[in-house]
Amino acid sequence: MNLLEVDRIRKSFNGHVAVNDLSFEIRAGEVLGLLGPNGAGKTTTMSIIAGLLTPDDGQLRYRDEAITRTSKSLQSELGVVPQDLAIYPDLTAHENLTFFGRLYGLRGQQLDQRIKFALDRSGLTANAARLAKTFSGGMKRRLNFACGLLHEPKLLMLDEPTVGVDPQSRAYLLDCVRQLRDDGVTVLYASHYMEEVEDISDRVVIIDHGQLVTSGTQEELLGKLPIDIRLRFTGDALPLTASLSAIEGVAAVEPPTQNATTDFMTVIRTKVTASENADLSGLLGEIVNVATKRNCSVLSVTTNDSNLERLFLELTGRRLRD
Amino acid sequence: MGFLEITRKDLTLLVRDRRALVVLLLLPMAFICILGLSTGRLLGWRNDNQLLKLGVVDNCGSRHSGLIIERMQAIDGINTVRVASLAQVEEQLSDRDLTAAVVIGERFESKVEILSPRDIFDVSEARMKITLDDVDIRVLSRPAGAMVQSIVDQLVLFCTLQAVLPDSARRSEVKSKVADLLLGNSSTEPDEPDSDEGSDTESNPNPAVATGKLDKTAENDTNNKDDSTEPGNPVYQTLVPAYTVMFAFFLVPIMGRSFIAERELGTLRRLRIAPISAVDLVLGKTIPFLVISLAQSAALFLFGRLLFGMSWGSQPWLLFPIVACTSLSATGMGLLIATLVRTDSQVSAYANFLVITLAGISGCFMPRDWLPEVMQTVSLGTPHAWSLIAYHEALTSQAPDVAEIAQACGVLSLFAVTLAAFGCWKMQYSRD
Repeated sequence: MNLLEVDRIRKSFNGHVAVNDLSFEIRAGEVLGLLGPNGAGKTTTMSIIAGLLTPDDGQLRYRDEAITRTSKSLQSELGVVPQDLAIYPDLTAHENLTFFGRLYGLRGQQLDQRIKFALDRSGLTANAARLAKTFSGGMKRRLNFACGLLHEPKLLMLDEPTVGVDPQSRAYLLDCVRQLRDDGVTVLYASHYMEEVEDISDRVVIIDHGQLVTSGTQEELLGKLPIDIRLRFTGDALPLTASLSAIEGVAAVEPPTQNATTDFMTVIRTKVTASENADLSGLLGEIVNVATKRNCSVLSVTTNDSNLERLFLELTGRRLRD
Repeated sequence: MGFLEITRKDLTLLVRDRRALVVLLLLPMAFICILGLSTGRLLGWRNDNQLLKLGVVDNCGSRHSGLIIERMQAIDGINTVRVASLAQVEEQLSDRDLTAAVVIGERFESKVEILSPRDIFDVSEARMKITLDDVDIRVLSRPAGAMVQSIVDQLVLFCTLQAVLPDSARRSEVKSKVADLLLGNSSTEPDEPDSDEGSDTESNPNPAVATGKLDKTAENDTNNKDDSTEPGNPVYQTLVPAYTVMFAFFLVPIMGRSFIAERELGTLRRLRIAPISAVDLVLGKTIPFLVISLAQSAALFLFGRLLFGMSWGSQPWLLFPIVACTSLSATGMGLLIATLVRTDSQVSAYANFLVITLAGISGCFMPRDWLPEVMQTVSLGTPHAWSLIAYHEALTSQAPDVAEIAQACGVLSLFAVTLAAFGCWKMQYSRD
């Protein structure tokens, strides 16, 4: 069941299109990873979902009900952990949580219980009475996180929640996200850290230039990646490259790079994808034969790992983004 | 009721923000204290170094010359001291120990004795005829002190008339007309019988109290002598409200900074995401400053009362609507500015400039009466001016014109509503 549907939304600022005809859905109880390079439209998309921006076109549906910026149905069930810290440094952790809890209508015993839960979940119980400005970066991040889940949101949006935190705090936050998922909370998780998204996401949406690039489970997406063979050899590099390109099943061969005075390295992009589960031994044998014929000695053959980072770079390119 | 939570939070933050509290509470008190010290008024302490220090040489030593000196000593803001001789006066003038000097000649009493009201007033020309030379009084001042000499001339002449006129009038058949003309007592019948007034004069050693009106004047003068320790000191009746109004509007940059802080902290986004309305947000961000403003004004008036003996006017309740409306217009302006500025530098540059400029235009730095007429008219475009007008009426009039105060409060409320409406509109607009 879809908890939230983003349907062909579009948003532009002064003629610059930030989000263009973007559609995806968030299923109840899943962790959806939202990936995209800088300026891809992730924050704009999340701002539209959060009600901070009105889309120029398109629609959002929450629990099959069309929502607008001022719809209360989503607002009260939505938790947001923004990219930048959004806490009051001159209030204590407890005061921060009390304030945000009250804004969401929590009172009395229920508020106390939720604050206790949030402090416990973020590992800040012992520091509840300290001013937030005295916290370390990691503690502030955890308090920021706690403020977002205080009111038991059904949908939690996390926008790069682990930026600038130490490995311990990062692991702690990721554990929290897993626990929340286990508790039935739906999570939209935007991050630049591929391994994080890979680690916790059930499904992934990749956007670029405000448009959907691809979406699906990690298996589905990684399965679409072609297998690359990394070949290290000695001998005359240029003729070998030309011959390897002619082999059936080879899509492309990168120009060899010299590793040492005699060693060369090249990457052969095959036409075989990971999901095809094909036997590469025939293709590898042919590659070795061609190399031998060209008086080249193959020193090693490895295949590249299929991971989200590689998929991301495949789909969005290696060009630097501003 | 999300605004209550935001209000409570902002009040907590404001109380913890010592810099803001210093600006809002201590700074105006410090300003008033500094000015109080400058004018020698703090805690009733009277500085000898008054605006004018007059030396008086009484070569006549008559009853009338003594009265003149008494009257001059009763004038607020002038320190009148007796000096033994003309030589000493000249020496003290050259040493700058005196601002000016009055020399009452030996022939003073003889000239006064034959003085009639006809010698004093030119009825046909409706002007004062008498000069100090006519009664053997000279005024000396430092070189280049022409303006001071002119002022002292007028003061001494006035005191002389107050001292000698009752006796002169008694000698004249036009006594009641002159007294009315001088004292502005239009209700007195011109041909009122005066048979019993001579006995009044005789029974009272002070000719100044020969009539009921003069009696009142003399009494007031006596009171004015010590007015620095009495409620209603005119300096503070102007100074305290002026600084209260000016510093009420110092909320504007502080409100601006509060909004910027909220924006920079990212908490404004969090507030907008929360299930509260835009009205809740605006109210929640505005009410704390309104509360602080009211507290600030109350503290300053209390401060003025306790330290400077200022009066809260004949009807102190009138201060409540003025304080409230001034605070409302200040917070309205604060809301508008808060939605316009984007950085701390903009607050420093624009908001402070606006606050100080408006204070200057409106007459917070000096009495409004001192402003040129055109500036007084221009200043009506500022909320400060209306607030000052209302305070002036409430604090200085024996019978305040409630309608005038109500009108000023109405204009202040209109300022508040208009400014806040623009602010709300801008805030709503800026959500995108």
